[in-house]
Amino acid sequence: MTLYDKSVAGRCAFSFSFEEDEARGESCVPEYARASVKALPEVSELDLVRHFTNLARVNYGVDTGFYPLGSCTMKYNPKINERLAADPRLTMRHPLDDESDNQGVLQMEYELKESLKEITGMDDFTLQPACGAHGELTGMLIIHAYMRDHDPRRTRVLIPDSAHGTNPASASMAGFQVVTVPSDERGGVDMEALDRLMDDTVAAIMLTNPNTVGLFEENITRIAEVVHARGGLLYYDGANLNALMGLIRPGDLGFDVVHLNLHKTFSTPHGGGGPGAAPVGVKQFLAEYLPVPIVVCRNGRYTLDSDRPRSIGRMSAFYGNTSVLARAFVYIRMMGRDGLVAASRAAVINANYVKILLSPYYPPAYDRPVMHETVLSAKGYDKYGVSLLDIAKRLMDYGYHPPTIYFPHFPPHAEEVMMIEPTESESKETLDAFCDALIKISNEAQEQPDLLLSAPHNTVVTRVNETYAARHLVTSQRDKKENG
Amino acid sequence: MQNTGRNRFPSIPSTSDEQLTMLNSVGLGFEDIISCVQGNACVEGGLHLPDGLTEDQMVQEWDTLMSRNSPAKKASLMGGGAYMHFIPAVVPHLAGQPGFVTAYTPYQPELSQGTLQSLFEYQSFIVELTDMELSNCSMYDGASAAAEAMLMAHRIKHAPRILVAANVNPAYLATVRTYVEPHGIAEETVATDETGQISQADLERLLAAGPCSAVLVQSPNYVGVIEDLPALGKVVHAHDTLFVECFTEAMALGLLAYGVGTGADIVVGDGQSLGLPMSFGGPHLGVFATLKKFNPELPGRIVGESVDTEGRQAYVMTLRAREQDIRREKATSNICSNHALNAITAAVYLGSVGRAGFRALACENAAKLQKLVQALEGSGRFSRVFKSGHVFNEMALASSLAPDELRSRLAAVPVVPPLALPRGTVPEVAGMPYSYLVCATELLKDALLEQVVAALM
Repeated sequence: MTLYDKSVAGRCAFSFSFEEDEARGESCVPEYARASVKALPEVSELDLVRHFTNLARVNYGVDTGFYPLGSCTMKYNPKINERLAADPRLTMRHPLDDESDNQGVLQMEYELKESLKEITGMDDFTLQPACGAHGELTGMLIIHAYMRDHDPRRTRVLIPDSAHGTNPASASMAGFQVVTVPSDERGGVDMEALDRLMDDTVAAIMLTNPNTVGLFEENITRIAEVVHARGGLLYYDGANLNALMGLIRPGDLGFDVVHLNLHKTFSTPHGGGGPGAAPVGVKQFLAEYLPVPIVVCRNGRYTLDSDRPRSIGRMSAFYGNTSVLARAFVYIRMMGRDGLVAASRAAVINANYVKILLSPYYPPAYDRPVMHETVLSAKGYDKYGVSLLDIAKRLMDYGYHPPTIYFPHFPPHAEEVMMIEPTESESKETLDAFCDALIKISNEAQEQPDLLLSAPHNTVVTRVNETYAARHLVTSQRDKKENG
Repeated sequence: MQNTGRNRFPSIPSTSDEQLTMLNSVGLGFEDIISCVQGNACVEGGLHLPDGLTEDQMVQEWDTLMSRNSPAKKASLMGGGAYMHFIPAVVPHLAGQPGFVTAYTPYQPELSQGTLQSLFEYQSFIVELTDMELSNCSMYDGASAAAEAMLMAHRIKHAPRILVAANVNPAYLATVRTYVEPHGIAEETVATDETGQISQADLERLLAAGPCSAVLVQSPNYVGVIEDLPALGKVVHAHDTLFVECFTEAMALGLLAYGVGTGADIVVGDGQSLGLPMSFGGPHLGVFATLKKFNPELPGRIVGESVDTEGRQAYVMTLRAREQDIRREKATSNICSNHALNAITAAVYLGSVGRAGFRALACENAAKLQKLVQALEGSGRFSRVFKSGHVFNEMALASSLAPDELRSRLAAVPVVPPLALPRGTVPEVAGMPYSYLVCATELLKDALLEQVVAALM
């Protein structure tokens, strides 16, 4: 039941001391612009509380249990981050208020920026992009503007077949044509293909490192040499930076533009699909293209600099998702130099441990040690009439969120694969129990495949019919009413 | 730093012994695993970052930092895209539950009915408030939503130009320009007239000059004036162009008409006022609603109602074939994560204030501004810039007070001062060389309003 279904005319959850005559307000608006009272529900406060409390209860989250969603980095979100980010001294700041009133929040943003420069080896950062894909678009627009000024023939962007779907979508939104680079049999960029494709029409290559199959791009230094020697730039998708903190820095590897997903590597919560934050770092020669404004420090005073004539402009109305940035700031300050290294180390050990335990049942896509996540295949189970989707759904009955299964997909290397990312947050016991469940499911697949085919059984709903949803498009209460 | 119990870092549970046990199972040392990075430039001697802090140390440092901001105020006379409103206690309480906060995108609907249904309810509310047929489950903010709307219109119409009203919030205009620039779409600005509204004559002239994909109009516009959307919509449609309506102040949705009834093809705006704090400009909430016939071109995620294998009602993300993870470079947008938790917050807020409360709040805002402006005009130091224009909760005022003086006069009053407009933003009023965008909301209680007026007499 929706809140509309629970609505009773005359009920109210709102307590506010109105001082003005409502008719006076109505009369401010001319006839042509005035709307009738809009159809919102009428519920009591307790109705509202039970409604959303029960909805939150039927949702699975990191606080509920293990969420091994590869590439998404569902690590624990420390509660101190939430508490400090909710500080009214931060949340009640008006973005256009005088800088002298905002020195604390500007200093926080400046210090975050400095930390990110050190962690990535980049020269300057914008904190404006709202999410990973927004960061990618920002970075690719920077490259687009740079090439417009320096080499306008370069209208194409190389993207490996293993890349996250946002990479080609972002490159395309930034006005580039996308050229796919195949992976080689070891899971990295096919160097021969790169050599063939990297010509004077290519503006950049977008790489995720470690890539989406959890492997470090071994040839990265050679790739950087080839791309730079032929006039292109290197874009680093920081979705998987959590494997490398304190070990290696994208800036030192030759990357020119970097985006970071603070809601992955730096522990800010995902919120069921955002808000995140994705600062974008660049090498000095691109700094003039960063979106405005940029937080800078001049003589001990923090200020927002908008005087950048070559800037790509604005990516949003203000300066980014400040309260998300605050959480990442707290995480980095509390982890410090050793903690960030320890996090990457634990994440890598956990991923390799899961890979070893599960390899006999679900063979790895590539037989190499992995970084922060492992990609395992369920292809062999088709002989029992069971698909990867069935295995994933059955995991829910054991109390786990399934790994990423819709991605990556680039046959023949990655097909019917699950991408498992334990993160540093999980203990050995959790990983053991999770692997036990997947091993039991492997046996069930052979002995009782129906258990998998009809899974999940223990969730609030069983499998949801996606085709029905698309065919009978009901996306609002109004649609429901109209459909009778 | 001090050790915090057995482990130095509370968010990393595995002890050194356990890590060793796991590595033994793997049959490799950690150095062996990461030997793949060898031969590349590795970090020598660790990162140049300070040592970590314990939680109590962090609280101290945070406190020092935040004390460098001026104290939080009781109300804001500053709007211009971010608005201070009353937020009922249930809103952060309910939206802040771990089930919502620590979940990922609802790719697995069986474990995500809470997020999915809440987003469905958000979409339902947006459909009602904007009077459109289909809402997505959020964009980043109003500005990026406006920019995506113009790209969407271009995908539908393929015309080489777009028109943007000159009185659209300048940050929105800048964002639109950033997004459309690489696609070679020409952006042209529609002039405003002496009433503060966009000039219908200039709009006609620009539309007649050649094909356009869309016209973007904000109402109330940047200087606070309510636009005649139905009249503009007719003009725009007569030229086979899409009409994109925009708002920066979602509270206006309680009183003003948008959407189908006013000729909109797309309605976009910022939903920060729906229960979200200003947070120094983010995260806000991008509202995006359109007509069903345009659904193949809509950016972002959409939740639809469906059934499970037992025939029970269930929610699921739908129309997925538009999205980047499936269509890659051919997707309608690159948007992936959006502002889902803020959409849920808005749904809780709208459920909390309810049908009558939302209308009453909108009226309170409009009436408060009138009361404030009348009192300020009475002081002789302020004057309306647009005498005939209708406004909601923001208005351009000319003043004899310079920004520094205005700020210092308001220093002892717990309000954020109004936004000083750069010279040339609005027409000059004789004898009053400065202009401000003044906002009043339901938080400007009479007692506070009197303090403001007294300080500016």
